[in-house]
Amino acid sequence: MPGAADLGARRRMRRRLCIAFSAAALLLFGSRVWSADATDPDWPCVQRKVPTISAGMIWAGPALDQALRSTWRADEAVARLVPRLAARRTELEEAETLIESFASGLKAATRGRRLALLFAGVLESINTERRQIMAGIERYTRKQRELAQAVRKTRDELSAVLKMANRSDADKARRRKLEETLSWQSRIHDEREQSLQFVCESPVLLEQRAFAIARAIMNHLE
Amino acid sequence: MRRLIGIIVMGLAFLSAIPAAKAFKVYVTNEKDNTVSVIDSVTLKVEKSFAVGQRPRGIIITKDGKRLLVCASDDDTVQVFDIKTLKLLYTLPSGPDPELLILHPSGNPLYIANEDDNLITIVDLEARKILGEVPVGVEPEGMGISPDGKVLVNTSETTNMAHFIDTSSYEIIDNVLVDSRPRVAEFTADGSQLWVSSEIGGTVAVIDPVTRKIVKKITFDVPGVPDEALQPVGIRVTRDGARAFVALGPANRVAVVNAKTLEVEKYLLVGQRVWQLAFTPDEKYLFSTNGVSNDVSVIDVAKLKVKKSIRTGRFPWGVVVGLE
Repeated sequence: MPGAADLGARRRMRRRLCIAFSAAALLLFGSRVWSADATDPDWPCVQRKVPTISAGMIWAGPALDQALRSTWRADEAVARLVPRLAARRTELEEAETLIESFASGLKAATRGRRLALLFAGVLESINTERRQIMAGIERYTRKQRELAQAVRKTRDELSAVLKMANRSDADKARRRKLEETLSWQSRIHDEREQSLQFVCESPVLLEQRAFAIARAIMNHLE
Repeated sequence: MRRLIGIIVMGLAFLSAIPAAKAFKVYVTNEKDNTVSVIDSVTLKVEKSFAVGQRPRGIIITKDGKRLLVCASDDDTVQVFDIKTLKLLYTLPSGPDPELLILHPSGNPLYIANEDDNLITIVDLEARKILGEVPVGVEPEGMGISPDGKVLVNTSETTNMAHFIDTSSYEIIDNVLVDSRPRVAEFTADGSQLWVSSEIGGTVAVIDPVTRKIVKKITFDVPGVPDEALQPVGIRVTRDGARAFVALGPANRVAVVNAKTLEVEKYLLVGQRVWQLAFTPDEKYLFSTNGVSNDVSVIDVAKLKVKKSIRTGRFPWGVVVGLE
């Protein structure tokens, strides 16, 4: 039966191996974070980076000229409705009801233009939110890259201490400290890495929303 | 009183003589949910969905209309379901990563494109055995068969070719170079043309199957949509050869093409990342699977209008229409 000292030594060995493996894995595979899009080193997502949702992709109603794009705020009813339609907390069914109620009060002569104004407003709002999210994802990537560099630095320092033939008590304390730091750094990096796939879904979810709202508005065009 | 009864009886007789709209069932594979949604073609509602294997994509119905065949790509198998009960009956050997499949016009055998293995696997439906394999280009995908069943055409995504395969000798008899990433091959009902969509190239090549020369490359142009988003995938041509419909992937549109002049007539906004298409047998409706908006759009073929979009499972991919 192993003694307490043996068990302690084994645990320490296991922990060191574990830290070494996770640090090695991070350095080997961690680069995935900033290599998903070869043309943009800060874009980590598998989903292609599409900076803006263009109207043509999701809208087959009246053309959105520049005047229309810049005047939607001047239409009081449209300006009131846009934030509610763009907000993700508004369920799609509720958004459809809101659009229906707005459309039912429109005069035939201005119907197409006002529905197009509504779409222009929703598209601008969703694109603004989406751009902010995408900028956040890129900041996230840069932080991950810094974290990976920090892991590399700690690992090199630890490796230098482990190579010492005669370690003083101070060296031993330093080694423990470095192991602990490496363990935390690897853990934070891995957890952030796991969250990435959920973060990357956000721009796509907003694209889906923009499309669904556009379609709901177009249903009232004829 | 007697007259009134007579009128009522005549009225009822007249009403009963009006044929009810034919009800078909539309089966849609949901790639991310591992399910198939069943839509009624009259109510245009999902009436049920059932679990299938992992990553279901290609889906077809046997010629007798009794079995539903589903490519469970990540399970490396083709599952066979009873179309009445929707119960799994058995699986067929398919080779790895089956993606699309097609039947010989006689109903047997079955040809399966194995994306990961650069092969076409030929399976006897009755004996449930592999009859042979044909090595083709890299990442085989689209499958078309001539109406007389003599020529199978497979497209390979990376080699950018349409391979013409003799169905009796299993030999490749010719290759036609098309634009980048060919996805779908579709013969017209009279066998006079073969349409091949190229996803990255953004074109559809119309090929003469006799000379094996490209007659025309159809290009697409939608105002406000960047060229790189115009990615043709699914193709269907009406039985009379008058019109073709081409799904344009992330452009979210189906192009309506005059199949005589080979000119695009119209673009219909359907759903996000429109992928595969299927007509009802009477060609009244065309259904499109829209992978990103998680729905199926119903196109009224006579009016060339989108009638409705129906929510399905996640990532609807393949679609087939049957009588049951």
